[in-house]
Amino acid sequence: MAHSSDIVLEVDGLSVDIATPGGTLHAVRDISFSVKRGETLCLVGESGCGKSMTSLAIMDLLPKAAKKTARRLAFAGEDLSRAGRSRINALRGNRMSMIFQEPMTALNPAYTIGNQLVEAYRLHKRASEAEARERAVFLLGKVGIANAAERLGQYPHQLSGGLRQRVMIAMALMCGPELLIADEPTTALDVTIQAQILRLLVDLQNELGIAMVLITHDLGIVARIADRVAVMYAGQIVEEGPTASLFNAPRHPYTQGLIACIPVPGRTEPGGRLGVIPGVVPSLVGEVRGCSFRDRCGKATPACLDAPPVRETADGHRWRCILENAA
Amino acid sequence: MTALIEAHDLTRSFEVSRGLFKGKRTLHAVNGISLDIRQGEVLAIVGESGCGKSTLARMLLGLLPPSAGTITLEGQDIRNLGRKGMARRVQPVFQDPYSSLNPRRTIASIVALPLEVHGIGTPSERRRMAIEMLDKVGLPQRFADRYPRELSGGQRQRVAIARALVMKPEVVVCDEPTSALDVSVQSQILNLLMDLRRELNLTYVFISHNLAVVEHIATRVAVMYLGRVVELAETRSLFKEPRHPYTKALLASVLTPEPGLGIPDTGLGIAFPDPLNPPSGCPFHPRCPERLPQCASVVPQILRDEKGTVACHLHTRAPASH
Repeated sequence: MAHSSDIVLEVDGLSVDIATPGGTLHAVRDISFSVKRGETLCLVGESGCGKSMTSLAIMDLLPKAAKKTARRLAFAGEDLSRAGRSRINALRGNRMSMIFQEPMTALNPAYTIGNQLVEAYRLHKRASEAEARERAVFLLGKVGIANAAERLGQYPHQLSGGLRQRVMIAMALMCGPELLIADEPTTALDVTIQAQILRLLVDLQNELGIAMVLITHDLGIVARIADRVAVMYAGQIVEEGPTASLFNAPRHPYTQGLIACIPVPGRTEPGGRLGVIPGVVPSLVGEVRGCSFRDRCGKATPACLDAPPVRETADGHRWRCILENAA
Repeated sequence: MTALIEAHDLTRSFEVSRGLFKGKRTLHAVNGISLDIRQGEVLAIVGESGCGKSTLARMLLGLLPPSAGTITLEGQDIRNLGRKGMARRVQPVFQDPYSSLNPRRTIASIVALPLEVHGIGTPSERRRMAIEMLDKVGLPQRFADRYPRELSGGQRQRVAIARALVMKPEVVVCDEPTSALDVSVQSQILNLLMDLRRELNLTYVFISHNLAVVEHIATRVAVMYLGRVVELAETRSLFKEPRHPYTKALLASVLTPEPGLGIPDTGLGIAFPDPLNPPSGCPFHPRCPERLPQCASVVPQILRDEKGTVACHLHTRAPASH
């Protein structure tokens, strides 16, 4: 067992409610997980499952209409759900940072790359301009940007999408964070660039011992990068476990369905039928009762109208289902 | 299989402004492409952003005239068919089901619009045909009088497919038809496309950057890089024995959901070229892990053989001299 001081992020009973004209939308419903130093946890799920809301809740970046509650939301042992605004500001962008999907929304078009990289570092580390620039050049080099010193004077629009994404990664690493949250960091990139950026992220993470939460819809990325995986559906974590165990022996019918949907060269029969998950995600407005997957599940019984039990194996593989093994 | 559409030496360039006081430059989006689309096949066109695959698609649809070269449909130059004549036989399905449907029209009238434009049938006949086609793509009649905003992404893509098929075209050009969809919805749309192909004897041009999807759905694959087709082959042979180093790198980049394999090293280097200022010689040479001295200066000839085509100095008809 890891020592408790190795736990960088601890989320216990996190919920996010959003006020809508039709009633309260329960976007995230009582989820719990933790991430250790040097570990990668992937949150995987489809649109609207609550994975991005979870990341925004951790970083305290939720939109105004959204309200979060948690029994405990701790970073490096400190409960952030009780921390004030100034404390959050001191941690965010410093000891915990975030990479967004679309670099153009996170980079300010009116400032040079250099200004944006240097600003947070000077603010948090009380460093001189020269020290900050030196670190920026060092990190841009690390993320594979040639003639980094020249790039500092350029504006975001002068860079390609792949370069901007790498600048964002460098920016997230400036202050040497202990926790990195990456929300679909490579979704907007081409496949050959994606592989390179992911390699880079993994190398830097290993080198620096960062705890990473990677949010994605891409099961291929998850299988290749995660130590542990949490599958989200309708605002809940329906299954969580070590990566190999989750892919080789998925327990929850939703996880099984998701894996059956993707074509895999050499494994699925070309031109054959792919698996489908019939139906649509239930509305999360108002009271949500029982198993939220039951309407789409081929194995549902009347017992699914009640909240399903959480089952667990010895290796820490957990799932919410009335069935011991749905396969 | 006979060729339905033949593209011969297609080129399309655009004048691109570089800023207020700078001159214009020419972007060669498609640069000398020849290929045929055979009756009943699924021809995939793969490549990364800026490779020209969507420009090629728009030319094949007759929506964009080539700067040079010709396209024939069963031997007839498509310029002589006119846009309406083309639309009866070749129809598109686009990537984004959110922006490609008119938000002010009902689902049935969106699907019936091509019939209306071509003056086919009476209004009630058109509505009946639209509802029949909606049923074929898995949308029951209750959807007919709804609006696009009431539909999910997958349902909208079904509407786009119904609209493409209502004219009973021979060829459907699908431009990234599942890229905007969740994986569980993607599999439904791919299954639907395969069913419709069998049922209606359709030919597909399938444009995608997702190699796993291409392997599943395509019978032949054309790989594009900076405006050129660098390799074309039967799907099975391309995935088993890729010949062009770029094809090899693309295949290596596919992240299959197999734990323990880690992230592959494509060996490509990190600099993606500027399409406005493409590299000399073989456009892929700056990133190519297998480049030869001549690659920087000489454009490779296209080798055509029983396997397909490949444009690479590693693959020439004459044995390499030492």
